[in-house]
Amino acid sequence: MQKKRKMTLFLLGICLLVTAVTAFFSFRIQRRLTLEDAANDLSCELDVITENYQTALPLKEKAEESNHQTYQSYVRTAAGILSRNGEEEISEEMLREICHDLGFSNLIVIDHKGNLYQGAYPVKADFTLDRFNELRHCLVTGEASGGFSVRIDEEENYYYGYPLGSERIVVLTVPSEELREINEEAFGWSNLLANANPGIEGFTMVANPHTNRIIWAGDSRLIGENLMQMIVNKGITVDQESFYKTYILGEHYYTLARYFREADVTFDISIPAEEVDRLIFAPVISVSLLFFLGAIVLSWFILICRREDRNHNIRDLFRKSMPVTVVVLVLLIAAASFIQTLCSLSVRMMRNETYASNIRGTIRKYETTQQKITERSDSSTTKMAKEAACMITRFPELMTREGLGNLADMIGCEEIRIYDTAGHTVTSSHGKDVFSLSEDPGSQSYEFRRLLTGTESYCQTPMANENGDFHQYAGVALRDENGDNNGFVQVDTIPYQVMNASRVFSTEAVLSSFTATDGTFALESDKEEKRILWSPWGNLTGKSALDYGLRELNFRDNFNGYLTVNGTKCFASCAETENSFLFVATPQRDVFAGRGRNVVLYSVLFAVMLFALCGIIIPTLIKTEKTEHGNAQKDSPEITETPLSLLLSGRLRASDSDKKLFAMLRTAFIVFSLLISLLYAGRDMILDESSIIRYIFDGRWESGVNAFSITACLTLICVVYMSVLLIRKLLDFLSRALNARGETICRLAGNFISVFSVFACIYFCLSYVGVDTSTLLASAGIMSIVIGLGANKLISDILAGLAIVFDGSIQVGDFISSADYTGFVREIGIRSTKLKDLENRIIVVPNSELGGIINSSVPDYKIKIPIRVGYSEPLEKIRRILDEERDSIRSRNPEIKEGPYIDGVTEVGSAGYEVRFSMICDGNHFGKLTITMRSELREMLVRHGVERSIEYQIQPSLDPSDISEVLAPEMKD
Amino acid sequence: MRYRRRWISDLCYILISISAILLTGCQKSGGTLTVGVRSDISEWSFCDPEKEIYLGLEEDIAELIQEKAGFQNIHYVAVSDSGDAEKKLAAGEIDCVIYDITKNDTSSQDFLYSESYYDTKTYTAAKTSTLFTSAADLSGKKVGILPFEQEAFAQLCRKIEGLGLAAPVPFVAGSIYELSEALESGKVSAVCTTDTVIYSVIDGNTKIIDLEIGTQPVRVAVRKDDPKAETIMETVNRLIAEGSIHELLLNMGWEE
Repeated sequence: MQKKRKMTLFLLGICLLVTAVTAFFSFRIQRRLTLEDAANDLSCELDVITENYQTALPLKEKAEESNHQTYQSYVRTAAGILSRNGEEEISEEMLREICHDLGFSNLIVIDHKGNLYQGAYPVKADFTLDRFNELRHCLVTGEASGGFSVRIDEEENYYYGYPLGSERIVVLTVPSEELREINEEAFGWSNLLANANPGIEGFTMVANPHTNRIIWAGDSRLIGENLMQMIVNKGITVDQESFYKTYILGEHYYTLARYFREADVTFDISIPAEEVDRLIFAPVISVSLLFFLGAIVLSWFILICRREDRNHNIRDLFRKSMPVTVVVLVLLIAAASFIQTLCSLSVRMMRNETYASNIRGTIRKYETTQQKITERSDSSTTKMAKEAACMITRFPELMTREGLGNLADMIGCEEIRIYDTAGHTVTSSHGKDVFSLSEDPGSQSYEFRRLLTGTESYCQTPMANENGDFHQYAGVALRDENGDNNGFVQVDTIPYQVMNASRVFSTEAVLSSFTATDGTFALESDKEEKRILWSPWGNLTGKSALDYGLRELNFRDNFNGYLTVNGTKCFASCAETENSFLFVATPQRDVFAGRGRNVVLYSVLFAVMLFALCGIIIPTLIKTEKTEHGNAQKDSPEITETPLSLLLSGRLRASDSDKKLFAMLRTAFIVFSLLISLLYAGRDMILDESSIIRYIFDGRWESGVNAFSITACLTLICVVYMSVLLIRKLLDFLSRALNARGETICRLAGNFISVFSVFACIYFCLSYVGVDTSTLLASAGIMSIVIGLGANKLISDILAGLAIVFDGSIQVGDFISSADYTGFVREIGIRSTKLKDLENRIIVVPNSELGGIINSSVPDYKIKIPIRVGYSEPLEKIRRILDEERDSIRSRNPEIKEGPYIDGVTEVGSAGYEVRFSMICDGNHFGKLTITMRSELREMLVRHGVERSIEYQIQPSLDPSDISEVLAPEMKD
Repeated sequence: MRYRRRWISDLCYILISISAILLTGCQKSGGTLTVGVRSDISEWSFCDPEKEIYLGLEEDIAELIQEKAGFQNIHYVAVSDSGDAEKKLAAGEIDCVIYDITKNDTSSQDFLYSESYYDTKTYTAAKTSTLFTSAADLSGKKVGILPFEQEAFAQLCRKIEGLGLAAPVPFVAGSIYELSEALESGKVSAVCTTDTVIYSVIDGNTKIIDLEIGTQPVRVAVRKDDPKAETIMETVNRLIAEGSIHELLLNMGWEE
């Protein structure tokens, strides 16, 4: 027994060792692929970011230039007002008045050396320093100087200058927040990086490549931090694209950095290491557990093969174990492939869901941005109109075509028009024909009439004219000396920022940027008619999505699953917006990209490790068994237990290597089912909400032949199997406490539950893979009537066959006998069972006729041998002889498990009486052992001079407990 | 029984071997290597004041020295400028300085210097709003410098004086932050510093003035009478000869 335990522990240890090595290499394979995937994904995202930035950069520069031009026009206007009033008249009050009228923060006049001449408000800057050379340079060029910022004592301002005569300069100061706000609204990092998708919980950062300081980050706590401090891997710079591990805000991340020369910044995109690690460990753990089960099955099979025939050498054992090794290998490869598929789908599902959600968020963000930019444009155009009104009120002589032309140039608008109190143009900078405001409320110009009835200013929404050019009009009421309405001034501008915004921040721009990410694309359709609003295929726009592969059931929020778009099968996620459905889809070939290589690597690994396992176990077994066999013949060499079987199912009932293998596979399946059932039962606690397994368990997927349905079928089978097993065990337990009738009911209920569960599993599995089960049920009803009428024999055979399989009363290899048939079971079919009789003939028996059979292949078979002896020989003498010889008989016949004993006197005749000997052995050995023992017992009696008359009879008994009943009185005696 | 005895003897042998290796390693290491490094130069040597973690190329070089010379521990001490470094080196507070550009006849009497492992270039930069474009624009102007980069400023002065113009006036900033602020606010018209520092000072509104001013060899310095000096010098020179330090510079993008 100790040797058995040693051998079991040895096998278990070897299996664990080989599994550990497999797990290590699996980890290496999975880690490499996952990190490569992660790096590629992030690289694609960086492509999107840089592409977006490259598109936005000229627009950003143009917008900044436009802003500077606006402020340059303000300083020009201010210089115009001051020069018309006379340079000597410039006073602090005058400057403050202009600031108030035009909304400036400060207006200063300095001399050509930078010395302060007059200022509306105090200023910290020393304009004599070289830092302000650019302001003084306007005296040389005669043009407004471009804005530049200077930070003094944490206060940062932009400065614009314009020459006032030949000696002085008008300086307009603008708080940098004001300009930054304008730029940030449209072209800030948050907007430019809005449609980057750094994994599920990752974020994007922008860093200065020279100082490594973070300029912008998705998490504002990081702004200003030094990126170098966050790098865990040393020796990697951030100004070249590299994938490195970082430690940010108490968590580990994987970060990919890329230097973007055009902006002289580094884009860093980070995803939590946990997100990546999860994708590494989940498949490795699953694969390792399955490998361990496979290794246990294989090693156990090798062991029982060795026990079956001790004459096997290494080559024989290898040859015999090869088919099982190959089957285990194939099953493991299939499992690894399936796990890889689930992993791919899991990653894709999570990413596409995030993408869809991000797109929805970005579109909303961009809508807000567009609205803000339009508001800013309204404000800017209205301010121009106010400048024009201010100048015209102060200097009425400007109300000529030339004067207004100059004024339009000064403030930077396209045209200025003056309207009278009746709404007719008085004059304009273009000198066009007289234009009158419309009296039709539907007309664009009608709204300007409100300026004649008390409204101070009005700005029209930017809109395209007949040429497609955007224009924006704003008007400010003019007042006479008494404050009464004196018409209004209208300016016409081209709102470049609004035009740019409509390009950069459009829904099309957001959706089109997704085509760059590893084949993943976006598609938008309207809610009502399901018409495609945007797709990568321009020719589909406006057409019904239902005509191009999508189905009604795809149009729902949080949909995840397979769909077909324009002939391409994709895995997609859907997000619902106010007016549309957004789909993010990845073509199927891209979903599984790289997984094939992984499966090949796993296959090689499994093959090597399984053969290594055989290579370790087989020679060791042969060597150990040789030693043990020589030393301890008396010890029972049969090992009928394994730790797992002992733990889960008790003794194995099998009697040869095939049966034992089957029992081991069953045990392995029970373990597997138990794990799956536990996972299912504890899904809320164990699995993350976003996990694909949870997604499958919750039944949120669409039916069809796909990985989801197959996984669901497997889960169902495992859970039902475990449930039935548990219920049957409970019924068995219950039956012990009941009488015979109760026991019968319990067994009947157990059988009924087994059969019912099989049909239920088939029904649900069919529905999972997309078969219309309601139609099937209706068809089954009709079919059952038809079959019942015409083929009831066939049906009874099939049902009997199912009962045999699920009941487990007969297995392949069993020796059975009945009144009509005797032989070994070769095959159990759906309709009939094939037997091989003692003359090697094949007998085909319909399953329904297999009632009342005797199965001799039981683990504890009782052999009874009657021997007649003469009356002169007392029973006590025979009993004593047997006691003396029992050990030597047992040593010569190791197949005997118990006995031999003397049951007692069974018959009394004229010449003597009949003594019955009995012994317990494995059912498979009863034939040979009966013949042997008949000789053994006869020789034993002859050796001891017993007068005998010998006959023998074989009466198999199915109940091993009989032995105790038979022997009990004798033992007492 | 025979196997068990053999197993025990094998285990003893392994344990004795491991102990011997560890003891040899301990004996070989000279304890702790105390290194003087800068603390505010991005990429070269930066210290997080809260965590007191030093990171950068100087630390990478120091760790290479520690590994190759067999020191068990390494300890960093911040040095603010050349004077501070020399002072701490002379007082024995540090065993070596990784970034040293002050070798001259006087200092060579007390200190040993390794071979040069990098030639640092001198740059001058000014804000774009100054409209400075040439050396002539810097004539007589106030130029910001860092304390340990006097030699760089001397090179600039020589360059400008060589053109027959008045030399600029130095403004010695206490730190890189102070130097940046002086440049931003206009307190100085330009800054003159080495390429290891310049990128920590400038931003998008700053222009490097195209002047070929000169270079300075960067060395590791030790105190002559320090018992560790010979080991450190030997290790550093070997690392330079092997190209290990060059490889680090390549990785960081400082060499092409």
